[in-house]
Amino acid sequence: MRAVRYGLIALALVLAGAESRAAAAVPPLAYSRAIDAAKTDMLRDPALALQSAQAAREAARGIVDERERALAFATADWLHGESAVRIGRSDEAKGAIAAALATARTLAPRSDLVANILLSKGGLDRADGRIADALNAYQSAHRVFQQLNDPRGQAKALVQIADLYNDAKDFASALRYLEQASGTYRGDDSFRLAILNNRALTLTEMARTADALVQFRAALRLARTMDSPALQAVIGRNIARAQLSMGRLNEAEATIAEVRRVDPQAGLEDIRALRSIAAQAMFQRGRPAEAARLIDASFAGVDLATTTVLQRDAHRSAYQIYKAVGRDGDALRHLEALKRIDDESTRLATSTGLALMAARFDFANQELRIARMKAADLQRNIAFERAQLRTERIILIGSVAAIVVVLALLGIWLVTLGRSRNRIRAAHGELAVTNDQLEKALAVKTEFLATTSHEIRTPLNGILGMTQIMLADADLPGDQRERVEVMHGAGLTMRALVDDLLDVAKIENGRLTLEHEPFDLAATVRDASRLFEDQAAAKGIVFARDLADCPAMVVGDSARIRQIVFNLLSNALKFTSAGEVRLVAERRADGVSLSVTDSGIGIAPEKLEEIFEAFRQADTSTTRQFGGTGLGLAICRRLARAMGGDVTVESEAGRGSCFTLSLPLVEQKAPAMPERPTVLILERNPIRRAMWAKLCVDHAAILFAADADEAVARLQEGGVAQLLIDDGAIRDAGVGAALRAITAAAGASVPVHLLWPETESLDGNELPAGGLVRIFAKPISGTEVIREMFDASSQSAASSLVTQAA
Amino acid sequence: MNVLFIEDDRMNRRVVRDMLDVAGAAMAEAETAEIGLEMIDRDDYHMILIDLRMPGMDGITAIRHIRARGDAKAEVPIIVVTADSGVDLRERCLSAGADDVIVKPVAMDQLFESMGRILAGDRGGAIIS
Repeated sequence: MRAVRYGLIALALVLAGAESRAAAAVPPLAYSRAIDAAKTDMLRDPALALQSAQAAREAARGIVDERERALAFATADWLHGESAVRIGRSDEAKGAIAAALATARTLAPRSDLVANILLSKGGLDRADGRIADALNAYQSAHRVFQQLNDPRGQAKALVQIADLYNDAKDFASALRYLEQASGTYRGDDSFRLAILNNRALTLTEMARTADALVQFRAALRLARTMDSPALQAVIGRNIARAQLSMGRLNEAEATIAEVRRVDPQAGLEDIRALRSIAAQAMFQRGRPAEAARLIDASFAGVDLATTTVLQRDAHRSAYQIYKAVGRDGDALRHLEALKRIDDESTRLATSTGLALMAARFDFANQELRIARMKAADLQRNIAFERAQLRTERIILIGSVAAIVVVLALLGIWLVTLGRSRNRIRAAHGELAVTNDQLEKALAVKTEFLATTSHEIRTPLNGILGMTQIMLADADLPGDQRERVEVMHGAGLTMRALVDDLLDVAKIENGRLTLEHEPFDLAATVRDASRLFEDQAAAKGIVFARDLADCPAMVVGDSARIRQIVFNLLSNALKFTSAGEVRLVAERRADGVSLSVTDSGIGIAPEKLEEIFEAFRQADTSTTRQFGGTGLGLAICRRLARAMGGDVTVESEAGRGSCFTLSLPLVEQKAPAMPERPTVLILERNPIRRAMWAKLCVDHAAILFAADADEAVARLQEGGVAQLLIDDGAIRDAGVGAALRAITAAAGASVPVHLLWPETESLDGNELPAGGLVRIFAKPISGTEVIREMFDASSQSAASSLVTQAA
Repeated sequence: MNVLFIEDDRMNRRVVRDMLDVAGAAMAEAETAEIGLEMIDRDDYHMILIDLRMPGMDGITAIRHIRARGDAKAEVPIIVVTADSGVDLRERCLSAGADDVIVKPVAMDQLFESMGRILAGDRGGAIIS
């Protein structure tokens, strides 16, 4: 829509600076040539660029290194997508961009290739009206560019975000982003020119025409030094429009003449645009007949039902001129076109504006974050003082915020009712004010959530702390244990609730960060699902799990994936009273899908999308019946989308539901794990267990036992290479008896090591006669123990130590 | 093992003391960061647990003070125990010199795991006593 006008300049920038460093390591010449050709032709001849992108993909097959080859494919796919969208093949473009993103994210998550693909994805999302997704993509791109320390890239992302705000007619925010962009990067002329031009257009929309002219003139000077007649003409026309709207007729005519002079080879569209401006000038001169001739020529052969916002001013001029010369029929046709365009852009502005509010890349928050980093201490003091504020006051602010939000939404609704162009114009001012209030309300809400969360977590620490301590006591009688478990479960639910609320706030503020670390997906999913085995059994439900097709090593955010799987399973069990819950993993062409199918109450078709909205369950009565915040699915879907995937649902009321999490995860080669010996450690103390786990991580797999009986049972299963005993674990039943039982079970082939306090003497008679025991005197460095146990050269010394001890 | 917990809330001190008792660790307590710093001057601890929001000196400043000491005590392992949940919380604590961050409500397993892991690392010296 109106963004197209900016886009003419801005789109060129996306490509101009984009070099895929990630795939640049000595690729075959044919590949590099094809990539260069695709980039060069992208704006001039996208169809040709598409051929080059395909040729590049073909040539990339010759790259030997697997990773480089995959990245080369991704680069080619990206350019394929960029060119496909330019020739109207947007479905093809989406496929190519998604594939490129999945690969690049996995192999080179912090590369400018990823960032550039994200910019492309943002463009596609925006064209589809998925504003929140577009914003998310631009934000992610901005973050990656930031990590790469690439100010030009950051500025590109900021310009795109500004364009989204322009779509929403939130010109004040758009201007701020443009200013941030120009503050971030002032490097090359074409970029500065684009920003100057876009700022001026935004200022024009805000009726700050005089300020706009200053920017336009600066842009024009730059276009002259760049020696680009086409750009001079674009900016010249914008200047002429601004001058006409200010009634500066002579200047406008001089500008029109100048545009004609600098760009004699202008294309048809440019000539049409200039003619409509000239017609407006004639009309203002009081020469309607000449104006009508010019406007006739401007619209000759144009289908008035297909014009865009680019022709809005031209339609308006045509309407005025035809009306003045008495051609009422023509005037009416242009008035209709004008109304259609205004309706379209209002609709876009409304939907975009709402989407931006729901998922905003909040400029104010951004600034706050910087300020916080600069003055961490100061900020903490403020936070502390805020925490001291009375709860009543917070609640009051919260209610006021809610009222402001309701009023704001009412305001927007009223605006959409407005039909005439003038009313909409006038309403823009109000909308800006409303947006401002909404922004403040959002900030208050965030603050409120953070404070509330802190205040709830503190008493919760007391409750859950004590229940954990009580449950850790083996002597707690059975009936009391059950009661404490109920209390503990309730506390855990409450903690999950607070976490959910904070997640929503983070997602809304665009402050959600995702990890990109390698992890074992199959193991993660298995762990997350294990917790539901007992719950299913208790309800008499079959819990089936098929993870045979689940990839092992992938790169992503394991905690968030676990959270989604956990949530889906928890829902499935919650809403199923008989039958089966089934978790199935499948590899797909575009990644992995994890589906959870249940035979529960199901969801009516008209509610299927609602359940993904925050604070919604399919039916408010379900809240009473089944509990829950109704936040889970909203969070799951947003998390999944932030990871490039989605959560979808198929359901039949009364029959059950199937929720599917799809993620663009690609299996990695697992790092070669050397065959490691298994060490059995007799240790009860939880802190020391964690110490041993850390100390052994590079040497051995560990099993723990809490007493001699458990150790003996474990030894009899076989597979234990060495045994380490802490004295604390064998004292209850007598050290001698315990050691004899253990060494007997260990046999001659399993070395046994004993940790014994140096302050205490160990009676030689207690040591088993035949067993191989080495004694370490505590306190001792754990590193030392590990070295002794795993260093082959020290193994031979064992027997001498034993003799000594005996 | 001897742990110092610097925390203004009495209930939280009690909870963590009972938890550490489960793992056989003794806990000394300080109500404010200022008192905590004095106690570190005077006594030796294997590990410091510390809250962030306290009247007077806050936790981050206290951690910086400890890490800026000229003696061996500057290397004592430090775990932040807080009810805060900001996005950059972890980053802020670690950059001030903390070894780990645990968010309240404290999960006992997580506390022990964190303590054990850090004690086994460079800062803790991996001493088994």
